[in-house]
Amino acid sequence: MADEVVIRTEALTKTYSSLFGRTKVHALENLSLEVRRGEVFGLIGPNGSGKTTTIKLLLGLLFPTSGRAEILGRPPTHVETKHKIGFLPEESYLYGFLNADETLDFFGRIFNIPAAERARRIESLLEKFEIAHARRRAIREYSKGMMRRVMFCQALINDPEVIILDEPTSGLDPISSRKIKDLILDLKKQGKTVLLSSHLLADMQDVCDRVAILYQGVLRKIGAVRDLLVNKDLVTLVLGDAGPEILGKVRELLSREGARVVSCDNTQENLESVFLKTIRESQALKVGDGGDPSVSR
Amino acid sequence: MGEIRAFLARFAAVALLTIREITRRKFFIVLILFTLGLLSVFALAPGLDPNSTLRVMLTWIFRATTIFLAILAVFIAGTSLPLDIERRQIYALASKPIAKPTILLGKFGGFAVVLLLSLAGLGMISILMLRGAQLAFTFGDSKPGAPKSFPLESWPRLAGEFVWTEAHKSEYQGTRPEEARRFRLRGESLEGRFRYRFSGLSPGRFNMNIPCRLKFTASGESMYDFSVNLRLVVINPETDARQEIACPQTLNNEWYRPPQDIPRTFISSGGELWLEVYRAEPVGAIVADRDRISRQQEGVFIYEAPELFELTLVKALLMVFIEGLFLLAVVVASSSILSGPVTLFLGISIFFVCSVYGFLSDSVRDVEQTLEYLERSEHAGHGHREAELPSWLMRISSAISKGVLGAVPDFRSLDPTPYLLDDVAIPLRALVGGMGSVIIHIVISLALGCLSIRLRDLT
Repeated sequence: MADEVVIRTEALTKTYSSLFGRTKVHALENLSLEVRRGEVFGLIGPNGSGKTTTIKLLLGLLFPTSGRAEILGRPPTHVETKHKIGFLPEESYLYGFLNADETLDFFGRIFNIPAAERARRIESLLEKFEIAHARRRAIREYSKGMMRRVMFCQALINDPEVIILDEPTSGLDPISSRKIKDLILDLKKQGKTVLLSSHLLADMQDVCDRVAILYQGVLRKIGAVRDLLVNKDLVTLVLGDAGPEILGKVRELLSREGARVVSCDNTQENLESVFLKTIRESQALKVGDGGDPSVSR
Repeated sequence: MGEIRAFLARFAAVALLTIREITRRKFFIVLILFTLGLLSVFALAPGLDPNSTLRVMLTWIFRATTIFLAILAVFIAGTSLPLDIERRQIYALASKPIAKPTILLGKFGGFAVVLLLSLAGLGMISILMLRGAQLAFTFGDSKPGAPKSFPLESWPRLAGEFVWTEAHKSEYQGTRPEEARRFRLRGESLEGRFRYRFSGLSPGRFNMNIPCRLKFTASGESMYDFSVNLRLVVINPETDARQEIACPQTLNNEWYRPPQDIPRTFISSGGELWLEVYRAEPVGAIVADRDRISRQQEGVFIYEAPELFELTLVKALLMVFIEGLFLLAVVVASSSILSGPVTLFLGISIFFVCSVYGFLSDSVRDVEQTLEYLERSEHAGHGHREAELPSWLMRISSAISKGVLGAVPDFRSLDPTPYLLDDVAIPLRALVGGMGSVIIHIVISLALGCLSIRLRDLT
């Protein structure tokens, strides 16, 4: 079951042409990849590398110029298959005249979720994403982060098997960004398949099992994150409670055995963990009383 | 069955979204206020007599309603889908289990509901205003002898089968195809007559005295005299009982109500009644033609017992609603593939073409007749005649105009004003006939819109 292919593309190609075909842009060329059930798969690449085009092709928003795509064994245009798919677009494209309740109710209706179940899911998602307090406010009055969270709610309203996230952390502060990464890992634990795209490499490294690197519409590299990141020529040895004397002995041993010590320094934390630690310490001293509560908590 | 239910649920969801979208736009509120302002403009009219007030009010009601639906259909509906696509709100929606054509149809449904509810609201306000004005006249001061107020009732009108009879007939040869066989009574003899055979009449549907009205193209004794003296003979074809009613001073192309109504007893047991029109004097002439403005056949009409005016107003608003639906269908369908500004331009153009359909079709006919005339002259060896425009340009213009006119329905069949201004009830047959021709256009427009959105990329 774990090896079941959920998303498959074969030589998928998309070329945009101008009105009379005078100019052509090759947005994606011969992309072939497979995403298996339960894995978190990342599409990475700079802007214009074809990530969003791939996602739009997988959702049937675009028609391929050639090649084919399959999602849950069906072509992307198959309407009923979309019952099992959740999609988070790159930007928060919401209807500003609706409030969060109405937005989620609307998308719930599109999925034909019965009224009682719809209300229960809306309640649970609004609580989970900490926007229940603003559920009756028009979305056009929301902050960017709050809009993003409503977008997440709509992507999960149908409890999907496959979740496609286009730049999920775009526009979010580090705390919200961390929460989204935790959510992705949580979805993985629940056995969901996640396909996400981003150019924020640190985010992808944190959550993805496998990644595909796209550049100028062409697949350049694909594989497990661990395999792609490993440098077989260098080895990291992490020591705890090692004073200068022990380090000296280790260096001596390594040098005697012919190994070359490239660097020897204290381990550094990354900026994200330092930032999160600082915020948590501040919150322990004083709880914020204004703004978006998800930030203060 | 399940699929249909699912389609309907999604359709309803998009329609509800569209209703919320429109009703929460400030522009819509401004539009409603603007329309109410237009409706009340008649109040600024100087002291008119009751009948003129009624005509002015009815005219304003339908002008205001038409302007309202045009703005709603073109400016609000025409920009909705293009904006969804431009703002990429369509991504979240189209990635859900909903076919792209359902989105288009749902939008159309939402706009149609708003249009229907708005027209219902405007209709109710109009009724209140008309009844209010009627009461104001009833209790206000009026000139002695002048009508106290206006009646708000509609008379179902029946046209008889035209029979041009016997002696001294004179066929009028017009210049246009439909004028080629107009019939007229003229000359010294007074025996020529137009007979109108009314059949299938149900006496229970008439008052004891049946109102009757005449309208003819009439020319009098001199060049500047446009009235004739006529005789109307009422005949029961079963018993051959006859009654003559004098109709003096029947004016050219004006409705004329004879001084006497027709007794209901003249309807035969088989439901038949004949009315014959004679000239009373050997001067002048009358022509049985088609009214150029209302396009109704001229002649003699009888009226059943009046129906509630409100019912006629509802039918009239239904006609306007169907017109609005067509405009909505075209605009929403074209917005599936065109950008907002182009859709707006198209919507305005179609509204314009529909508004002047009669004028355009008359112009096309004139151009074609000119071309025919030029061809005939050339074949007859009269040489090449010079026209105001080169013939190739007239041919191209005529072909384009015919294409455009073929693409839109003839809105004259859905114009309620000739009925309302004549106090005539709108016959169900006219309503259904007019609706039928427009509904075909609506279905075709939506089908093309569904196809184009189905095949397009949402980039």
